[in-house]
Amino acid sequence: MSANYARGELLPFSFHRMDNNSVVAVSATGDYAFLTQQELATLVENPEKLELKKRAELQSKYFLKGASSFGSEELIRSRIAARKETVLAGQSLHIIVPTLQCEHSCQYCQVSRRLEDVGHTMTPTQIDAACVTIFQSPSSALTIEFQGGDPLLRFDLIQRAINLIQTINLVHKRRIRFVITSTLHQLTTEMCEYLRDNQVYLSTSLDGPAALHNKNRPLPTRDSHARTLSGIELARRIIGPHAVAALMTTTKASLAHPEAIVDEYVKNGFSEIFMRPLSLYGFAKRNIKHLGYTLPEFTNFYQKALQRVLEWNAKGTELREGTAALILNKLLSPFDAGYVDLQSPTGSGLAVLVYNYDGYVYPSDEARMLAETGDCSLRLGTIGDSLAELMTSPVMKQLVVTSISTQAAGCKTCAFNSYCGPDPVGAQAEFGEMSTTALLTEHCKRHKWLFEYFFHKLRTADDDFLDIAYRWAHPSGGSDA
Amino acid sequence: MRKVRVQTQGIEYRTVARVVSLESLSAQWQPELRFLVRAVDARAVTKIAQLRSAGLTNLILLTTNRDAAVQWQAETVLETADMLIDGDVVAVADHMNHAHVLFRYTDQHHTVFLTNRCNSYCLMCSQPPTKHDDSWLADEAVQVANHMASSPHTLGFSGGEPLLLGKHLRRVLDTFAHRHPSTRFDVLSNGRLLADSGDAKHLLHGLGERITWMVPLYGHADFLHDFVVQSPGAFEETLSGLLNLHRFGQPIQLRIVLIRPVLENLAGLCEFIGRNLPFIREVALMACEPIGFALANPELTDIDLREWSAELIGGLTTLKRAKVPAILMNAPLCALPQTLWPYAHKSISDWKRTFAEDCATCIVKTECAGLFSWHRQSRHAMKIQKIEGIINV
Amino acid sequence: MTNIDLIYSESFPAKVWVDINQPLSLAVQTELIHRGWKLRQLDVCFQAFCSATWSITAFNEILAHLLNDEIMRKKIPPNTPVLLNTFVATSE
Repeated sequence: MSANYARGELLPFSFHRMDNNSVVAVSATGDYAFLTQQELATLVENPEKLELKKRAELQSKYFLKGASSFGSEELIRSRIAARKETVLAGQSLHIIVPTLQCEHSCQYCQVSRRLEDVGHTMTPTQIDAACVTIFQSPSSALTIEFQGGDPLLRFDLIQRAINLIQTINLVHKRRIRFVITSTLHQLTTEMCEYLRDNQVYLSTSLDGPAALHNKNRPLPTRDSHARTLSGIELARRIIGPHAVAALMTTTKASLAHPEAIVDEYVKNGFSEIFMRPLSLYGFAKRNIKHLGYTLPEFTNFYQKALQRVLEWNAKGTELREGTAALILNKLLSPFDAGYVDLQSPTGSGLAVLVYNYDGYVYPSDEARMLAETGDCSLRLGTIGDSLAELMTSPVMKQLVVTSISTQAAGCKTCAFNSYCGPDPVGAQAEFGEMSTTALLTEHCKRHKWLFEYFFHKLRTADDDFLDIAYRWAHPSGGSDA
Repeated sequence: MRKVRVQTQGIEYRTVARVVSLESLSAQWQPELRFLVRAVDARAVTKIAQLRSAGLTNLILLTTNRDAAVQWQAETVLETADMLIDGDVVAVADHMNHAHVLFRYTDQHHTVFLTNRCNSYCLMCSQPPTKHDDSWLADEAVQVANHMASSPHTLGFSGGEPLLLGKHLRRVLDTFAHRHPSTRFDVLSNGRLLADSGDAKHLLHGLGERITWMVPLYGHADFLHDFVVQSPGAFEETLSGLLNLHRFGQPIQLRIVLIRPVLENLAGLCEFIGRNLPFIREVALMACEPIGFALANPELTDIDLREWSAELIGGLTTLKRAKVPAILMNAPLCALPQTLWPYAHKSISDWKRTFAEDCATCIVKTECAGLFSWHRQSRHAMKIQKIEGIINV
Repeated sequence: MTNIDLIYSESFPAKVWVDINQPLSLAVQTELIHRGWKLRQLDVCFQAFCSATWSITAFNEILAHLLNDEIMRKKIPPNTPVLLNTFVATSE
């Protein structure tokens, strides 16, 4: 069979070196191909010499054009648009922080205040105004997440918001999901009944087995772990088996216990675990020395934890790892799973908004935490400002301008730029400057490692791993940020 | 299409009519339709003659009695060997030796043939195209819609390339949708003429979701697909057509005929579909019909699927991971690895299906698609092997 | 503002300043810093802060790849920037 085609032109792509002799090449749609050094050179310099099967693969993945390409070009556009669904469809995640009060004094928490403190709570008027702004988002699906402090300490404000949103939604008819992020220590039976009747989900922190969890999250009574577990049990009993999701934060103390942390999640009946590193910005320097850890320390921990997760799956226990699912969604699926991270332009402000107890609207959780340390430069506006006003604020414009991965310095030649985007909020926190070259940021170093790691795994994957990888990669009814 | 040997008189031009018993005529009669009324005896013949004199000029006599036919002065259809069935929609004319059964309710699969012209020339085409103007088929299709007394569950449109009907295609589809509101439709089309957004809008706007478009795709790069369909530029046009179909909310089934150049690249094709066309409702992998152009290219089309089990398993695994539903059609179960049996569909139309001698004692015969009736065991690569012993189907 | 030093094992622990005998583009400089090497400029050339022998070898290998890959990338067409006003404009 001969292939009669005009010499194909190269389409834009980049590559990342896997080892001395091979690279992974990624095209503008995020399709990837593993190439030897020789294949890369042939592709770039003499594509007509490519072996036919390789040529077909590279054309089908948009590295090369065919003889005519108007249909493929439409496909490229729709593939790129599909990746950006989360930032193109409007703000789907709205975080309401009704209060900063909390009984814990977790070493890594930037925000909470002691229970006796006043003046750190939203007014009912502000709650109402936030609910109005939420519906100005064009997104057909809305997740409203209550955070704090411990938002259960002001359950009355949560109820006010939920009731008002449900009333407004009788007209709008959007798909709405409510989540409350809390230690669950304040959870009562009455609260659970209200949550059950209004389909509100709970999200809590579970850092690992009791000793580790209690060390990370100290209470005067030293029983944070036990109280969280009994909150989970109460919620499941009254609301249902899937009432609670759990998140963990990796501290220096966590690093020695990857398997124990995973096992703790399985033991307590969770089907998802999210291995999240600690965001170090916002702390005093002395705390960083104390709490911080290097990237290699985290990646070593992560690999062991992931290995344990895969072992559980091999034994028949369904357990999904959230960071892996996020990365694998980018690599393997044409659909955007809805994570607000790793978007270009940034999800901060475009996909998520935070209505804070201090009366201001922020583009992300990290941005409001930054304000707690004294840097208020990332406020989009005041609660009560219209969505249009928030979106045309100078801060929002700057966030967008500094987060286009095909333009930002360093990002534009990065092979992973169709999976990723700069984090200007992180750059502001780390360097005091949103437009800092992404390559220098913690965000970039961590995610570049993750992309590289999963590409290595995919290159040598067996069928079992691929089945799991594709299962995790497929968006399954949305996810919480 | 089924042909029934008949002798016709008095019917100068090809006419569409519905077969009906004399008893049922009064319930079904409409002035704008034509009827083949069955006369079982002389009394019935007389009765039909009376009705014609009374003004029911759209009645044609249907009889097995040669004498009655000779005496009858007006239009007659004489059945000789095979019989027509009540409810059949047929096309008859004096110059034709057969009645063409355009629709029979008891058939498992129904197809309305729209044109024999095509803008592709697939290597394995089972219905080799012709070039002459056959636009009368569009009018005949409308007549079929009108003459069908009952609405089947599903009805397919094929050709040639139905899109070559231009604006007449919408007229045909609308007539069927209007007359048979509970029926679901399939259109077998290469989608190439839907590449233009304006043309796509004209055809598809307001069409609803009752039509599934069955579009062949044979490769993940232009040179692969264009080679199989023997038309440069077809791949890009088909991709654009698929995107337009999706834009107008039209359900799509991709059809992949399993000939050698396709099987060699099946892995890449399935990956391409999973990543680029995830909105596809279903992928149908089809064993090749040994007829038509396929006979001219046996080195490419005469395949023993047993040799390609690895490629089939790989392709179906890729589609499963991408959550694109898939089925296997036209393949006898003995040619497939057992892990793929859940994908196999009984899909050969009744009137062209047969089994080999060996099949008689095969324990999974009732689940099997069987063979095309022009399959010759000795001549083709795919050999039949009956399945014996205990199998969990 | 916080300074965080996430260190790549490639460059740690560093002890010796090593000369780099070719010009480095800003992109390559940034990439090296991203991977954890400290750079300084001495007159016309750069120096990188490397550890014992292992790190010098690794550094030279990586630098060679970075420079060659940079040349290769120049032959590939750049991605067309996404139109900004798609994202900045809002509708009421």
